[in-house]
Amino acid sequence: MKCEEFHELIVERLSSELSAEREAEFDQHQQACAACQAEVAAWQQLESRLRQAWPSEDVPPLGLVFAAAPPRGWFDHTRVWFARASTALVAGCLLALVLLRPSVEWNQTDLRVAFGAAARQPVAASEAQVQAWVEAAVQEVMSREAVRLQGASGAPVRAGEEARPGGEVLAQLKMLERGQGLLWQQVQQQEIYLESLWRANRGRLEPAGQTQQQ
Amino acid sequence: MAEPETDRQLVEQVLRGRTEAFNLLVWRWQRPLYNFLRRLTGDPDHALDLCQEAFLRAYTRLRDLREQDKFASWLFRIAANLYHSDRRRRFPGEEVGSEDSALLGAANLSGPGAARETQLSLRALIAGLPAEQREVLLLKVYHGFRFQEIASILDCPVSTIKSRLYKAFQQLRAGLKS
Repeated sequence: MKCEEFHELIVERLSSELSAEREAEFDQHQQACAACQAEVAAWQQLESRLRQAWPSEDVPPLGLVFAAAPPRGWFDHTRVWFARASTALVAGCLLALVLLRPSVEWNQTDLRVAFGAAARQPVAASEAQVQAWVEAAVQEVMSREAVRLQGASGAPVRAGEEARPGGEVLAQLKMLERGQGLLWQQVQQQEIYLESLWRANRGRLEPAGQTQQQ
Repeated sequence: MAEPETDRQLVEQVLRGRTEAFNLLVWRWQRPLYNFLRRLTGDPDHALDLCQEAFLRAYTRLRDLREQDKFASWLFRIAANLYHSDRRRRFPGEEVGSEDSALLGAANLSGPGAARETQLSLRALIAGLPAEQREVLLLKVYHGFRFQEIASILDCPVSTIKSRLYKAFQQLRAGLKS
């Protein structure tokens, strides 16, 4: 170890912050070099004088007191219990949502809620079945409308027949036509929705005959 | 006789809700912290204010202390930051640490005339050091912190801390010789 390096390590040696290996090197050099021995002594003397020149003073009262929290009464215990119970309830509900994975389907007339596998299982219906269902629904609605209509003679009027003379029949036929139009829009939307489900789950469809009941 | 509780044990108690345990930490560290700030600022009242602020801040931010056995260096870091912030606020634009003769604390000199003069000389030399060297000198000589702890307090590399202390000693020795 050279003297220059030795000087740079004096403070660390005096505060015992050198590694064992470096400390051994330092001590070895110190024993062999009188100038460095004097340097160490000068540093130690300076440190001592510094401490004597500015001793510690007594600290004035800080005026800080950290008091213990007041004991809890029954109200505090109840509040704590209620808070914990509420937290547990919310956590339980969230856990149920995650585990059960519910599915809610609203179909304007029908609300369907399913959990777990049932929620994820698609409606297994073929395209032909969807078409048949749509046509049957349309026929049913039209027949219901036809029964409602009554001409001046009281006899029922089928939708599509030429209107009899009379504003009432004409108005009712127009209402029927509008109703059919609206119904047909709804049916088409349902068809699109069902078709999208079918296409999305084409690979998972069950064979005909095992179709779920609508 | 039971061994005194360590800083880590006291911090854990405070974090568990035993607030009064913080009083023991205050009682243990108020004198070193006050004297550090006293030597930095040169003003006992100012040092007391900063000391109070440092303890209050340490109490409110105790949960931020990651290594609970290093409460002391963390507390001194808070104090050093408060000192710098206060200097910047009170003397904007002025280089932090350019102290005046108030730092010397002439009122607290003791002993016969020659000794008092020596004390005054040394204090003047310390006051004349650049602030960054003076901080390192105070933490090392008067409070016995290790280099790694001083680096943590002042947020500097250890090599920088060693360099500053070495230069401070060189400057003080040169001043004493002259």
